[in-house]
Amino acid sequence: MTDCPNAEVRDLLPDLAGNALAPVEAARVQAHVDGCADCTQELVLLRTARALRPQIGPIDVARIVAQLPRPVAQARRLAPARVSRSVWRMAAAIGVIIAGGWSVVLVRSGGLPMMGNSRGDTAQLVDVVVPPTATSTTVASSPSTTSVAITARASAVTVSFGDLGDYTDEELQRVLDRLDKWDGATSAEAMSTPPILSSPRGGALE
Amino acid sequence: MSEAEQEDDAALDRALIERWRSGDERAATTLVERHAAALARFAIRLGMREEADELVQDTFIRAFGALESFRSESSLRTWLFTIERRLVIDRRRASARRGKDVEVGDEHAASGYDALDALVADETSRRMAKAIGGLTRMQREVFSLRVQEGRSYKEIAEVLDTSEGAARVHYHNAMRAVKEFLDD
Repeated sequence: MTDCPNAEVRDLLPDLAGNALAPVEAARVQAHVDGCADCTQELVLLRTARALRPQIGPIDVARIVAQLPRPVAQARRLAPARVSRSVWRMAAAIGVIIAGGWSVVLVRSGGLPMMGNSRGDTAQLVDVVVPPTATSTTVASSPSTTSVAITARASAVTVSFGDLGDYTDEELQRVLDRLDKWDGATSAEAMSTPPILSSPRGGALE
Repeated sequence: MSEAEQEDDAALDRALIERWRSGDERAATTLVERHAAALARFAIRLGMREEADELVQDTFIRAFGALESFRSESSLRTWLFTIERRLVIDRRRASARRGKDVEVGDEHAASGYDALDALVADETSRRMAKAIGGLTRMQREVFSLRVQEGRSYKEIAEVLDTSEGAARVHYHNAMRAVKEFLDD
């Protein structure tokens, strides 16, 4: 068995044997093969070799697929959700612990200083002395002035951290209404009656 | 398969890969169904009949693990053949280290064609199987990919990690050796 000198056609014989050539090219190569004994023999040989297919048993596709990694898009979709859920769970747990601990501390300490409460805790607040008028620049250090100022302020502020049982339903509802309206930011508005800090000697601090 | 059919085939693979990437796991089943048999045959031709099932599975696992990096510059099947052949080489090296496989050189490599003898009733086919079985490993791999799998020299070069020119030379040497065997 000899080799045909036409290397270009010989290179294409495996494709002709496998019907992998475009029709025009297949016709051209076939035309050469028809007139060439070497290429005819080689084509027969290639078709015989091509027909030699190893016997394979049935392939368990499901078993293979079951072991494949997940698509990345799906994995990406799942992963953040898992992280997010656990983070939220942890955050909620920490929040509950802090709130519970804070409540216990408040209860044990008898509550935070309250404005307008009925237990006479007002005195704890009286480091801030409010002058009787907004335009006044004089030092207002008399107890009566202080008392009036605080009373006036107490009537405006009803938020309390003390025992909720001390309040009527109406008061509690008012607190909730105010919390609903609260924007969470410290008010930047100037007070109509700026507070004057009192010094230990009774004078005002600027 | 004509060039147009090969292009359609490659386009279908690309579409399936895209579906799988976007989360459709059924696309994986279709891809496995399309290529598993060819991979099993290739494993046998590489002389790995006993491990063929395992090799096919490992090839798919490795391929799907790296499918994000598959750029469709070659056909999926060529890429799968490349992965499978590397796995075969790794196993042979591991076996050689353990002393289980004394086959180190390229000559006298175990061949899936030897096992075909009993299955091939036709004398011509039986002799052909013997002729292919007598090729060096590289010649046999090139011959198998070119003749039986219809891969181009470029694809063969990619699978075997060699040059296109070297693949062509190996093919023609293999063909000459087969002819000489059959002429005897």
